[in-house]
Amino acid sequence: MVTISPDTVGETATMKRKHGIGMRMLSDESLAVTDLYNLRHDNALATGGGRGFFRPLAIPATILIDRDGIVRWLFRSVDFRVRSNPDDVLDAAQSYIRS
Amino acid sequence: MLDYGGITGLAGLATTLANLWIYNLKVREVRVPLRPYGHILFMLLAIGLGVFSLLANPGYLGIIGATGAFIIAGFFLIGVTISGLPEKKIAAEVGKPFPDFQAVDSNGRPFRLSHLRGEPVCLIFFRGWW
Repeated sequence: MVTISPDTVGETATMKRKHGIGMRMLSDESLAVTDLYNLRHDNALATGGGRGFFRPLAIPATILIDRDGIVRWLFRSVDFRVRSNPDDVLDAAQSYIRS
Repeated sequence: MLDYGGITGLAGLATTLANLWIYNLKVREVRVPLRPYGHILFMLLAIGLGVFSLLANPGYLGIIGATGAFIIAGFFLIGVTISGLPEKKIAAEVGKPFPDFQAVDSNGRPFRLSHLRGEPVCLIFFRGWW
């Protein structure tokens, strides 16, 4: 599993350490990857952190990619407070493994 | 001694704070409704209490309460209005190759997603800083 977010390298390192996250966490501070996937959310509500209350963030999304690099399943949030349901991700992953 | 103006002003402020606290709890549990109408209504109620407070010739407590209610409720209402998700289609398609990219991992090292070719990958886009 790989996560990516517009947080800085320092912020992702802190999050990884603080929550004991084992998976690879990538930083996309310039939003280059977010733009590549067309997931930029301008004027997103943030809580300051020295960078203002409204700034571009990413639309939450989950993508399952198989061994050959082919996209098998994807979910794009319609509300930033809603992320892909873990059960849905598991179902999709299991049906891919069975196929 | 608190008068009606003071009480309603502070009640308005308390309403915004309680509303925000409950909203924040829901955010952390990922169960905020798509359209938070209840929260919006409570913020409008808080503004109403603030207005009533100012009309009731309040003392300084009422003014502080009303001002606080206006600022917090106003910020919340602006926030939920303008920060909705854009209608964008993700630039990836089921059945097609994923768009490859290079990013930086939490150790500051460059990482290319195609390096993981040969194993299934679950790529999760996090929103970013709260």
